[in-house]
Amino acid sequence: MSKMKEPPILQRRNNHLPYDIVLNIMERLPVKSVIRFRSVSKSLDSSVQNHDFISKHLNINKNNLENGYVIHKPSWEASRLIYSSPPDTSVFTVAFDRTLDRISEVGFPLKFISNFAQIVGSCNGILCLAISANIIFLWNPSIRKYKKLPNTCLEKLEYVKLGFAYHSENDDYKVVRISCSSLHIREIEVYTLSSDSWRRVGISSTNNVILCHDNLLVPAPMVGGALHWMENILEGKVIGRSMYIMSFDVNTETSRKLALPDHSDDPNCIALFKGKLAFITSERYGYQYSIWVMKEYGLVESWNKLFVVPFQRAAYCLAFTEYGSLLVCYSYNNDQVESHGFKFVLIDTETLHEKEDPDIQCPSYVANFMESLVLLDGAKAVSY
Amino acid sequence: MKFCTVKQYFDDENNNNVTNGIATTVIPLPNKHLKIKANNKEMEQYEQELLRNVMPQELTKLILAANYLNFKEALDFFCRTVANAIQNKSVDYVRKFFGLESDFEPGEEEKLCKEFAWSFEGVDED
Repeated sequence: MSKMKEPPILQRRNNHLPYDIVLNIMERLPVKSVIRFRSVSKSLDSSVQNHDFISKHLNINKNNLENGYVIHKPSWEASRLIYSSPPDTSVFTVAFDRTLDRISEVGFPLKFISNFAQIVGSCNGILCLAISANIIFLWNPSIRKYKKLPNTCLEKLEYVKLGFAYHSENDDYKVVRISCSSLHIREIEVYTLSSDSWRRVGISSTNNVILCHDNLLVPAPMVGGALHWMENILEGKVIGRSMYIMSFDVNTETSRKLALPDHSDDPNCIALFKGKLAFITSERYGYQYSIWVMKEYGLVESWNKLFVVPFQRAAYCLAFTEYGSLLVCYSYNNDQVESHGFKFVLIDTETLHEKEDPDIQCPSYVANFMESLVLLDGAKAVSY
Repeated sequence: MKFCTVKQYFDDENNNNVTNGIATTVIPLPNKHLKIKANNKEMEQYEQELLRNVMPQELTKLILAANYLNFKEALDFFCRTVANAIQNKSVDYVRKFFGLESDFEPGEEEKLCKEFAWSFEGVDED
């Protein structure tokens, strides 16, 4: 019997997988497992911290996302206004984005200051937190690493607006800070993770007064490669004012204006809705909310009033998730006890289905969330 | 191209029952994959069945076969199945599974384990 030539794989003595396939498997593991298996060998530890590996792991994670998740945290300022003894405002809760049903809690390691933390934004598993206009952190709770950003490069910070974005062209992360000092001057500076520094990118002044509009507790939405904030310009002595959207292109680092649709005089916030720019406004003193969506990004004519949500009581909009859940609260009087409190309701804007008593029971910052290894290779990122 | 490699594979192999088993699992996979590509649930069920009937070590052989056949969808599928099988296992288990040696300097490994102690919670017993 002639000796048949064995194919290479059967010649292998130990039948072990080639290293590139080992990494293929590692890329599909949950974050906690990847971190634990760093202890398997020095080469695996080094491979896992490689930037390409982290990117591949992220993309596989993104494609697998069946359920969307959010992370939310009570707002210290807003909670103080409605509760005499506010809840623990240092707790971050991970939840399902449709129902806001709680999954788990995580804590920012610097617990005392995390009471005041605001969620500026969330990208690829990294949260951007602001303790104040000048104290900002990037944090990946899944791998327990955080990084404090350096101080501003501007002389003065006033009426600050912040935004956090992933810059896909450069595979980098950017924090954008707008400071409207003296009400006439708008300065913009950008922080990039790759350079770990701030850079001033624009300054504009106008004879009119610029008012940066509050976006409730909703992060600045990132659509069409740009971050968005609402602004108001008071023209001269005329009392009439016009609100518009200021969009900042994260790649070209230039800004432009986008008009809002015709709306009543009580705009609430702009947000992300299934990948599109959405505008939420309340009408009839909070008895009705309208949700507009810009169907074609950049085309003002494509603003479309997609949903109208009626309420039986005057409701206050607190958050709007990417899935389209509207979180509102309204006050009620309990005649028997002569006290009043706040009731929280979650509305699915598509079905108008109401969920009473959702797992969020106070004004909170809400942002999308996923697990990732991003920041594992970050310089000056601290483990805890 | 797939047919050429498969034919060569069959021509080359000796009559080994194990490799026959691999061939019977890997070859029907393209058809099944096409049929149930749209339905993730069925894919999950198939994966569960595979996990139950096939030991992780056997999965290794399936991966090697799929790699040799240059069959990317099967390779990704089996890698995903292995990932699900080992995700809660200990460092020692994974070391043996991949045939990797701990090449750390003395004390380095302990340092890592200490720094990421949280990642060792809820690990399966070996």
